[in-house]
Amino acid sequence: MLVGATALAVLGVTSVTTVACGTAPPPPDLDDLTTALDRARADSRLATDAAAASRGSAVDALTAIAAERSAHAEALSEEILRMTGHAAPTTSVTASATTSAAATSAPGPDPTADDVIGALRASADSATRAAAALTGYRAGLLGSIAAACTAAYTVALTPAAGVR
Amino acid sequence: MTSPAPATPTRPSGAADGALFDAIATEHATIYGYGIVSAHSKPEVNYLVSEAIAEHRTRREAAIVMLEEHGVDVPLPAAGYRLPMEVDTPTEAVNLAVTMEQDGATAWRAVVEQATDQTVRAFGVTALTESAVTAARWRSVRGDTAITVAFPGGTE
Repeated sequence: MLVGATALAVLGVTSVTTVACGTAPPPPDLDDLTTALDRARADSRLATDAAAASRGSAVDALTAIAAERSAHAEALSEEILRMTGHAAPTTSVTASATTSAAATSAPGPDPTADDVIGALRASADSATRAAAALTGYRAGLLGSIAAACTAAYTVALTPAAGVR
Repeated sequence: MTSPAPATPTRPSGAADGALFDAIATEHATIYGYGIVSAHSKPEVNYLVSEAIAEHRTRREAAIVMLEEHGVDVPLPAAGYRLPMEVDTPTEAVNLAVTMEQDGATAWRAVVEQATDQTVRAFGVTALTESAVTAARWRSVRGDTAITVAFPGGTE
């Protein structure tokens, strides 16, 4: 009985703190995972579009990157499902507003490998920061995603980095 | 019986320090292995051998300092290592390099997951990333079609 009451009291304090501290500095894990998911989906679309507009060996590299970023999105979705008990939205509102305008719907020029390099660099930086802030499996997952994005833009899309 | 045997540091029981201990031991093995890679590589890839060895030495020294700051005895290099594969040709040397970088990525991802100290975790993320990049460079040298992997150091 006493144990139960203590646990309830602690839970109560925790939830009050969470609700009351609207400006708590450490972002919840879910924010980091959702941001990473949005970025993975957007990068995958961007790389797919860039591959369609490219020729030669860049096509294979961009297609491989699109598949890797899609795999990242899948792993992140699974982790969000584990964490929250329900699936992440198929398309995030904020992400679709910005990325589809930039990557797919915009009537501007087709995206290039350089656009993908820029997007991957930003995603790698974001995942690196998130990995350091998270713990356990989530930190490891974000760390691998940061590593994959970095290898993709520094080596796969920059062949001179691998062979001199 | 009275002469003390040289103390062989044992792996710390804590998960965080244990993972860092393992990663340092992996770096010892990798630095040894790059000696074999260097001996059998073509001269054209000397730049990559040198850069990789320098990267691993720098990383190992920094990791040793971190583990010592935790009051833990660091692992010592072994007198010799059994290679995971036979290495007699330049192609086999590249294969060993790729394997070692992949093993390094696995060891550093474990550090990232187990770390309780944010400095160690951030160091692990950098090490994981560098391992993935160097692995990709070696796969590029090998002429692989797929030179990157989706989850370096992971099993997803």
